[in-house]
Amino acid sequence: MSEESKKSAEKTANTQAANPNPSPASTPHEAGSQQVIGEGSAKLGNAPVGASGVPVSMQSPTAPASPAAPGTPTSATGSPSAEKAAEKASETPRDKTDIEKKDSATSEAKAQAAATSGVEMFTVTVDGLSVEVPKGTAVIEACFRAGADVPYFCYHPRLESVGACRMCVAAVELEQFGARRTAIMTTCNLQVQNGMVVKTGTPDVKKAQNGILEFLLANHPLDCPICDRGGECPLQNMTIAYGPPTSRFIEEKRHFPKAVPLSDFVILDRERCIQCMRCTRFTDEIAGDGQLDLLDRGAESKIAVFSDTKFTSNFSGNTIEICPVGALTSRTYRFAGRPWEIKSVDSICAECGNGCNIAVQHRMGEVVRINGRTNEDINEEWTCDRGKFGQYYINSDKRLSSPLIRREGRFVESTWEEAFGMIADRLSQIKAQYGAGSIAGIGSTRCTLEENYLLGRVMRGVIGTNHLDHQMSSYPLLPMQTTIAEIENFKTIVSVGMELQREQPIVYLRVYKAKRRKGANWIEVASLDSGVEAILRQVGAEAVLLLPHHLQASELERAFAFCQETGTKFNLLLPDANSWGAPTAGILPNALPGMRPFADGRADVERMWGVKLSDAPGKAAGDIFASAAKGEIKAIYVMGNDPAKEFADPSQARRGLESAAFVVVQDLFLSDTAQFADVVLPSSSFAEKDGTFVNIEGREQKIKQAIAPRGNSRPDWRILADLMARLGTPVPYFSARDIYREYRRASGA
Amino acid sequence: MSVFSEETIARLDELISRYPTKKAALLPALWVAQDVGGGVLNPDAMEAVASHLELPPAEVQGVATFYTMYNKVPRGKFAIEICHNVPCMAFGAEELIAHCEHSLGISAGETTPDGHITLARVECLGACCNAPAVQIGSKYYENVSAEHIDALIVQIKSLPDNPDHTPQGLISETASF
Ligand code: SF4
Ligand code: SF4
Ligand code: FES
Ligand code: FES
Repeated sequence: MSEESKKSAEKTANTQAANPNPSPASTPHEAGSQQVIGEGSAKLGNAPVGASGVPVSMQSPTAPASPAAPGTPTSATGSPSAEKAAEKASETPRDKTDIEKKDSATSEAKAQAAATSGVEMFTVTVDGLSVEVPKGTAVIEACFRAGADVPYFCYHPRLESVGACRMCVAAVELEQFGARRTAIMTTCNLQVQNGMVVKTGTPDVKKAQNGILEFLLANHPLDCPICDRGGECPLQNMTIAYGPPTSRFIEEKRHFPKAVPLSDFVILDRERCIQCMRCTRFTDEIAGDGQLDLLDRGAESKIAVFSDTKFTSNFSGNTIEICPVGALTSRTYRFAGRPWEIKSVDSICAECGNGCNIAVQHRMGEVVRINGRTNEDINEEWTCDRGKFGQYYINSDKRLSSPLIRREGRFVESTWEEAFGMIADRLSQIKAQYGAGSIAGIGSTRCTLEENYLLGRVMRGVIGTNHLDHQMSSYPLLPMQTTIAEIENFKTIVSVGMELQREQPIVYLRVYKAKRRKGANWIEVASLDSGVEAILRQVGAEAVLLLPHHLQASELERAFAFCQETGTKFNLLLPDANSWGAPTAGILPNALPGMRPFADGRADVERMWGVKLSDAPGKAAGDIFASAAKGEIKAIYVMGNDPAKEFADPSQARRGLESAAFVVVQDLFLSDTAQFADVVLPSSSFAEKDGTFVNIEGREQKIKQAIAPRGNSRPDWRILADLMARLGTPVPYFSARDIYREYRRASGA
Repeated sequence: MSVFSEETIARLDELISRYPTKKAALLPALWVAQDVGGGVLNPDAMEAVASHLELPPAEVQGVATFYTMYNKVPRGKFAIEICHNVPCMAFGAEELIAHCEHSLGISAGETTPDGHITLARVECLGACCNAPAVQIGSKYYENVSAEHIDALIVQIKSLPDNPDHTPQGLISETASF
């Protein structure tokens, strides 16, 4: 070992000491290539590229580093991969380093813990390092624990192993038919045996790896220059690291029609497919619809949807991310850029209340792609198609780009100054003439927690009205009694009156996981009257009841009471990204930030805001529109909501908006409600601002700004902060963070 | 809305009852579907089998297209199935196929215009020891030469219909399983 490589060996050892869970991403072959970036999620090569090429795993504290299959406890006695190189050179046992000794002490403790809890631990020697792993672990995972370097395509920690690609070969010495023998074997579908000896870098292994890649490339079109996967493609990376320098195949390659659209989102290029069956296993095991399968056989094998029908699964986009080549690519991202030109920002999906962790990826100020990010508590590493493909409205030309003021019945573009001037004048005048109680505010379950909080402060603290609401239909605010992840542990899961796959996609994936992997009984019923009570009476506390918000409030309360009686967990699943953030920010007629009743929160809030809060009871949305229709409410301020379309009784909302003398709307588009507005303010999308979303479980998660606001639009919080200043209460909010801190204090935290 | 008659469904149900899971009855269920479909297995039939066995249709199609014994396109009254796997290939299967293509005037995989004879390439017939191997209906022919196959072609051309049918047609599930 040269002086220099010794140094780097030390360095590796140190970093790994700091990170006791070395991920496969830290193995040498990957460290040099794009595909690493990221996580133990084995989403080969599709991991988000961080700004300036910094691996995202270093930027994001949320990405767990464990490469092991979820739920598989593993332990390592030592892992420095550079040490491993030395080991390979000599192939003789050597003394353990201090770090390894410490690690092996920990792993011994773990092994003992496992033994007492009944899990048998096996010792496996990988490239001279011994590791202890629980019985049932795949050899490839034991290799990762030892910091060894095993290439793979079809292996995926969340899917059952099929051994389809043959890339993960190693020389395995094992006990078979009463004799010890060594063979070159695939390691992803082989379970560890006690005392097994694995070598990952012998000349035989190298030759096998060469051969496999030569075969995989025999029919591969190698059209990397026009392939969207190029630059983040595991096949490219593996070929560089393990491939033969040249191919002996001179025959014509197999041909299929290129770029076959499977759906509106997914394109298939069968020439590039290596038949790893990750996509088919995903549709079968994770999404549960089994829409993709391998047709025909041998050299003709091809991925297809049944009889050329459409790939309608709501989870189709995930197959693009796990495909280890450019066979499945995205139609929305098609030729939108090369991976190395793309910047990625960690954020949260704004489409539903599940709160998937996503990476918003942009190039030259345009969002070009949305990928899933790992969060074991929520979306594992998946997202639904709405999250992946439904958020391109961000780039729409129809977005509002400057404030609009209605003059003589028509909208005229104006400056922000003019618009703020007009709003401040009209609101002050209405307040002076008719009192603060003639003004009402409507918040939004799609704006951030901070923005809703600020709307509350403007309405209650600056104007002095309690008429504030966010709900477009009334439903009780009953928190979930389990987390999303806990759902998978119930024996009986009853879902009522919803198409779970589309309405609560990630909850659905957990439910399907419970059914598929843990044998749970999933009962879908149309309504609470379909025998739900009888079922729950039988299973009681072993069951969880999943309900949509759109049932009658009285029915929900009945179900709640019933669940309390039987011990069944009651999970009311709210619809929007911030369905919990709006009420906790205080956008309710009779509650303050933190959903505190006035009696509780009044003193804190009055002190912080420096005002006296109004005592008049607040009106909920329905009453606001009714009063407006009667002429009692004169001005309605709507932030990011569309009651003219989404209110339970849209005509009632329309009548109210029509009768109100002054209506302000903040939105991305000229919505139905905006048609009734006197002033429309262009706001920014979730990709253009920072803030907090509170998901269905009540979990706060941060969205982060990826691109600059489109046109002249501004984040809703910025608009409200500017308006506050115009209304005579300037507060120096520089960021959403400032508002968040204030919210925390105002809610008594 | 099934494409199957009640009688066919009864046959399927009887098959299902023999296995621990519905999925396990897939292969024989496809035989039945092919049988009632007049020797052809079209996508509608696959879909009907899928819904009856509670499987994704794509999986059923994957299985049906894997096996050459399931006919995805209609065949002639006689099918000359020539093995083209390695041992047979080494003993002249390709030449044999070319010869048949020439004398029948069709390519492998096609049927003569009169609908009488289909020429097909198939995977290993399990008769490698006497390669090349050919199967016509339920009969095996081994060590087949060009002269041999010419004689067979003349013979089957003179027959109005295949007396022992295709093997799968013969298999009435009750008799053979
Ligand atoms: S399309 Fe991609 S994921 Fe599916 S089998 Fe082919 S290479 Fe694998
Ligand atoms: S499940 Fe909800 S949060 Fe997740 S990607 Fe889909 S819409 Fe977004
Ligand atoms: S990774 Fe083991 S065979 Fe594909
Ligand atoms: S290879 Fe032809 S019968 Fe086996």
